[in-house]
Amino acid sequence: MAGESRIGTLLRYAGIALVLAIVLFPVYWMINMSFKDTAEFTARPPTMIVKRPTWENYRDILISQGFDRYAWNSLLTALTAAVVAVTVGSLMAYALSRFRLPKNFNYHLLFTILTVRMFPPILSLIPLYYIYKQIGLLDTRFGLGLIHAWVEVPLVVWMMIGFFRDIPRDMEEAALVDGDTRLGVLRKIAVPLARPGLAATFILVFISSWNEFLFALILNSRNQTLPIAVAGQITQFEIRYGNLMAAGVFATVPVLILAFLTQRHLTRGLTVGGVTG
Amino acid sequence: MDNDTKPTEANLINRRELLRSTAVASAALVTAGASSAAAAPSRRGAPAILRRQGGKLVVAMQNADQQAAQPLIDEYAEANGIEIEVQGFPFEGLLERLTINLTQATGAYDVVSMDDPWMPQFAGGEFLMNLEELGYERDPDFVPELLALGDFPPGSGLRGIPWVGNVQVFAWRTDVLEELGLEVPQTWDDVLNAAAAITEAKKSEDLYGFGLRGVAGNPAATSFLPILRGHGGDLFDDNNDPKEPTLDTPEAQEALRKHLELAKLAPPGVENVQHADMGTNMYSGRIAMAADIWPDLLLQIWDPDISQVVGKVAIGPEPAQTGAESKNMTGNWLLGIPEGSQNPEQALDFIVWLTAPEQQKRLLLDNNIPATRTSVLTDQEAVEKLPFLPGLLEAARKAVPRPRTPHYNAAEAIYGRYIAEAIAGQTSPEDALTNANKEIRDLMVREGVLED
Amino acid sequence: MAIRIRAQEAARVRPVSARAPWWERNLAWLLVAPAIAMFALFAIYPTASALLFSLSRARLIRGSLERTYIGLDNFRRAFEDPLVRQSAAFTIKWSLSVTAMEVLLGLLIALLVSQLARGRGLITSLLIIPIIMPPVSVAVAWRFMYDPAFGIFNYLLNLVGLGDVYWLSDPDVATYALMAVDVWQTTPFVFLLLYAGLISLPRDPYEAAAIDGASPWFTFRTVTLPLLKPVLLVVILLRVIDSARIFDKILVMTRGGPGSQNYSMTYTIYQEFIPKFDFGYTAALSFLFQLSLVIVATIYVRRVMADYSAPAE
Repeated sequence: MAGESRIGTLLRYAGIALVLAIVLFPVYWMINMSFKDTAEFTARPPTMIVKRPTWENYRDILISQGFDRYAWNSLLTALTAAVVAVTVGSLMAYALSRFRLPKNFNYHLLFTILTVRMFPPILSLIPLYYIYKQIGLLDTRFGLGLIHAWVEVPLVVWMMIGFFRDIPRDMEEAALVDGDTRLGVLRKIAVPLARPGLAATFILVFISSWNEFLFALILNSRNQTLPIAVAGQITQFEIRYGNLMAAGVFATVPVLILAFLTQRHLTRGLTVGGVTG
Repeated sequence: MDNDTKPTEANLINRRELLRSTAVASAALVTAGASSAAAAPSRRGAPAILRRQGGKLVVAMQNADQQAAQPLIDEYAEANGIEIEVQGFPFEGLLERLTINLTQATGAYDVVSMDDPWMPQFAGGEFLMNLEELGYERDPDFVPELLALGDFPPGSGLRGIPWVGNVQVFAWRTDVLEELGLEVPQTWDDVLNAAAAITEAKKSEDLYGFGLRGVAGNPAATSFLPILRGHGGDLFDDNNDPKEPTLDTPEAQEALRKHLELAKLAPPGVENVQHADMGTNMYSGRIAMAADIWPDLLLQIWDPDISQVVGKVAIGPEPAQTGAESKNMTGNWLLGIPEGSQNPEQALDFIVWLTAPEQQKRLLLDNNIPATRTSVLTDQEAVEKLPFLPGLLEAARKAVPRPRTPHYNAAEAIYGRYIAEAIAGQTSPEDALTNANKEIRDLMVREGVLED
Repeated sequence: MAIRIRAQEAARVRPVSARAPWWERNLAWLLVAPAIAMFALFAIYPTASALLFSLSRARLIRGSLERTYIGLDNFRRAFEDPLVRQSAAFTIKWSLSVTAMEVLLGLLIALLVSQLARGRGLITSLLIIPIIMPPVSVAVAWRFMYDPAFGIFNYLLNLVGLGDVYWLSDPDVATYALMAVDVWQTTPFVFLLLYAGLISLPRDPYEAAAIDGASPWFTFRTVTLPLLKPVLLVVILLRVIDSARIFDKILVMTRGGPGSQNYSMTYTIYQEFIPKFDFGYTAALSFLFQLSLVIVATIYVRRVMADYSAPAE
């Protein structure tokens, strides 16, 4: 926006600083706690900055418990989930935003897909367990990624329809006139223009898979993912606060890096300049 | 009760017959293993039949137990030249996972670690192998009350060997009682009086007379049960063959009334106190008495690095009203072999080895796993390091498991919620017990245990 | 305004020529085929079997599940169960409250960030940290911060002379304390989607508004909000559905307490599954839960976003 005042800019940055402070304080507190030993956890008053910093919590989860292994499993699972969900979901979204299917199928498909998100997952566990056993997907990262993708397909479809609908049709028209195929149009125009939406949904699907618990617990005990290992720090008797905080910090870093790498797609991209609405 | 359910699939029957025929062969091996504490090396010369089968064991247990036991498990695997895959799960995840795998006899696991309230479901349903049929012989060194947990229905044979000897105890601050001139409470009336005196005198120093858990479900239920039993009441009519719930009795009403008074004498916020908070409150010196203390908390209370009350706490059996019997609840973990295991002989050998005195002592001293054997609980070196062991043994000898029905977990979820609602003031104590009793009764009717 | 202009400008789609290859002619169906295939694999059989369960008394016996048909008994029981009524009321209150707060805050933050000249990438990355963190760690950390004796909040309150607050055990406070955690963790989800929506908006209407000298508020109301509406409406729908399934935070932080005050519907359903293993009742409750959401979503979609499912013109 042109001609904005210095004060306006200043206010905006002050506002965002306040938001960041609120959002990040609990994060700071988790980092702070992740370096505390058990005794310091119950120090009164609580220590704002850790007094006797210790690596013990990190050592315990990384070396004793091998969290790097769980992180690897989570990474492969979440990548599978994100790639599959974004691909399957945006293909469907594109179809629904461009074609009129017979018998109001657009509406029916869109709505049917949404119901997937409404089902409490508990109930589908046992049937899915048998299906997975039958088709050999039980205890595989790919199988788990697939089910995670499935849970998130509704999110992708519903979000991406909005983004595809916003893409000006004249650009696609022009390409079709120039002899491009429909698929070519999807690849060369729709996908690049919907990039912020694709990037955002990719991150969200990835995160949701990264943190998913119930399916991961039942369908993949051979290649356990991070949330199972994290929950394991709460036993019947004990809550290992230090481990939980260290695990929380540890599990956040890889995704944060991914998000940072992905966020450059969260820019206006091609919409800057050439495209007219 | 499910134990009249007959195996429906032919292959299961065949496998059972197969097992019986191999039991004789394995019996000799196993007793040999049990008699020698360092069984592992002697396995080297095991006959070929065991060798061929003994390629791999898959074990399921709690993550935390896995972490503690892993060094020993590795040692056993190496000494026997086998591979042992241990899958660790969080508590409820383990129950979920075992329920699917054991009832469906998937053969996914050779050894599983189970909480003792699960035994009626898993052993009673014969989802676990009868270890005595496999050749296991009872070892009198186990605390008899704890070993009996693996025998369900009682007398049908052991289907689990206890390896984590958790028992609930009553704990009190000797220094605080002494300072205020109070006797160690014997009855629940004593407890209430002492707690009132302590809270009155010490509240300003953030020290309260009593601590309990008020979170709905297992926590509230577990804190209430010793008080209920200490009044001569119980959850069911018969602990070994529970049918009719007995929460609408005068004893239960009296117990809950006292429980609620104790909750008022506890540090505020009792509605959200869970097990770990009990430990924190005890070792940081915020509570002077508690009837819901477990061995893992004792280890914290006796740990000079974190505890402010080392040497100031004593433990013993649960209080009981005059005429009522003192009963300490068990929360043992047992090792068993699921039906469908491809490798039961090796699995049994492993279980015998892990529960042998030497390993039990190492688990206790190095990894804080409370032992189930008298010889370890009275071991001089162990008692020196952990002075509460004699008190724990005394409590273990008064140990009574939670009502032994496959439906205990469901019943606990019901009455544990009503107790919590009463503590939170959501419902009156009378309504809480009446409703809990009715809901548990409905449950037992639905499950076919009771006639309507 | 903007939508109408674009709709008028949009050209008609030419029908695909009959000589195009078969996959080009049936492209629409091919594009939805993978999703339909997944639906068949993951939804139909589990749903059918769940439906069977809901009409049965089911128990695990050796080697299989034994099912006895009992008609609508499980559903009848559900309607008579006071806990179900109570947790349904809680869930409605929860879902509407947190959705409202999260959408409002998320929109504000998205607007704020989209207007920054520099540092947007870094700020976006920092802002989404809460959704990345493992829910169990987050819940435990907040439970600890809320701890009446050892927590940071009460310490700070006492510093400024306000007394202790029993965040998670006081019936008047606990629900809001739990909501605060959900708002903290999930607002970034709303923010991220709205932010992606905002930066994809066409520039022209803004330039037109700037030339007309429109105030920021006027621009927001007449340009941003209408353009962002499709994304906003979807985000609201998704949040209502997702927040109605609140489970893990409640499980870890209070197990539904104090008492059973904060039993959400999914928590109640979960209790029937573990530790009660009542598959039939679990299934019946799940169906009722899903049905309620379907009804809510149907009304919402019909009323508020009627043209969303139609292809763009």
